[in-house]
Amino acid sequence: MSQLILCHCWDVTTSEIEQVIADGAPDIEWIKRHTGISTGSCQGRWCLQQTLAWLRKHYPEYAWEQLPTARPPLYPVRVWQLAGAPLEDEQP
Amino acid sequence: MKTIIIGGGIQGLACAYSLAKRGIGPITLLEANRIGYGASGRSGGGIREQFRNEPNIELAKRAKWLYERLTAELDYHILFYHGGYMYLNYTESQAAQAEKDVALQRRLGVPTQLITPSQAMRIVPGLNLQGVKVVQYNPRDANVHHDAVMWAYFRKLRQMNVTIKQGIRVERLEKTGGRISGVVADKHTFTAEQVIVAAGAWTRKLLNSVGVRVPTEPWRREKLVAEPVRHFLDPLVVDRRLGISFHQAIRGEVLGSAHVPLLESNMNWNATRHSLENWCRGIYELFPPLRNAAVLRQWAGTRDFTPDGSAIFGPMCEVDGLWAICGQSGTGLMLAPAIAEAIACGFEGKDPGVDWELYSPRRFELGREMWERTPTG
Repeated sequence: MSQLILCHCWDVTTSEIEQVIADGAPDIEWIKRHTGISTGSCQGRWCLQQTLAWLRKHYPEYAWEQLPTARPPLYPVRVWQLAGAPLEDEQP
Repeated sequence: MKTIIIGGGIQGLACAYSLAKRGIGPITLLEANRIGYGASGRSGGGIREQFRNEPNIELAKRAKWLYERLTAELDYHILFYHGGYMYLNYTESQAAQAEKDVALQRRLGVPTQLITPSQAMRIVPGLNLQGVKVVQYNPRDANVHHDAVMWAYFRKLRQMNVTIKQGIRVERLEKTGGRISGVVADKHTFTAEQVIVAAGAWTRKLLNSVGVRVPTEPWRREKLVAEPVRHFLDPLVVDRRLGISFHQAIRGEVLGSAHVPLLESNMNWNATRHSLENWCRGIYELFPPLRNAAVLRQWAGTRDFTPDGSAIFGPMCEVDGLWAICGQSGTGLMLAPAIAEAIACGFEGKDPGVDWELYSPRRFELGREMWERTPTG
């Protein structure tokens, strides 16, 4: 079993993905929900590409085309920024 | 008994499991989209016993008891965690209601406490409790990962040879005489002796197709998640003035829920900037430790509401063999295993442990509403 890490936020390994596929995960949405891939700080910008590339190589017949919905915001935004608060010293 | 379950959310999956466990079947579960699509996959995962009516408290107690054992029962870690639930009350009338609720909950063995703002501050350091009169706190309320629960059920159901079909949208139900006979999907009729409709906000329309009326309406609720950080927050906190809530999930993510004013009934799933900013403005004042949290993602889901905020479930007496579960009003995940168990007992002709009459749509005609509506959580 391979132990490559595809998601660095949640330390998801290729063997975990193999396991959820074996358990019946039909598509990438399920892999996302049951391993945590694409739900960390990068929101899939990094790990989803890695996972897709890996799936294409090892599971060519797999339904990897249907990507999870991209959600706003585009990049992580701090609560104080969204609250419209002024930049203070205590907010790095 | 050939049984069809419509809806592959938490409730449909839990029902399939409770029936299969008792050897009832064959069971076919039909899901219009994919498992957890409509509401369950968009849930915050809160599990509380803090309800206002005795039957609901008993149901919630049972559900939590079942959740506490679900990881072992389904051989899958559902990330259950006793973080507690805290309600912040600001007005005299909220405080009076809180006192009543806590008294009833305590009488029924739920360890809710009525605590002062300074006691709450010790449980959630940094909370701004200005203007708060009294706080309801149950340290034994809990939290779970909604996707893990569905995955746990799904895996188990596959092992139990329950048929789960995804992407099959049921258009209507069919009855022959006064009895349910099947369901129609994609111009194909699936015959069945028993049908359970657990289709969330789509339930009303399906029941209407055989003349059963339920007074439910879907409402949108928005949530967001902020970057995971080291565990620092135990309870889920609900602010009754701002209508927002927040908690930290077991994986470290901070989840927020924004109360969208009930201005329009719809099934629109667009998350809005308004709601995101509203939550952030509220949290900025209410809980300064989160001011620097990074919001990663927001989304919306649909909740099926009844006029009184209590669920509708059980046998639908107008059509033999027809069962429904709907109108959980945002408590679907927290009650699912208990409702599933009651339905399964009903199938076997055993005591379901609940009074069907109280949870039937007829309670609204008989003036026996069980008022539960809370702003959020």
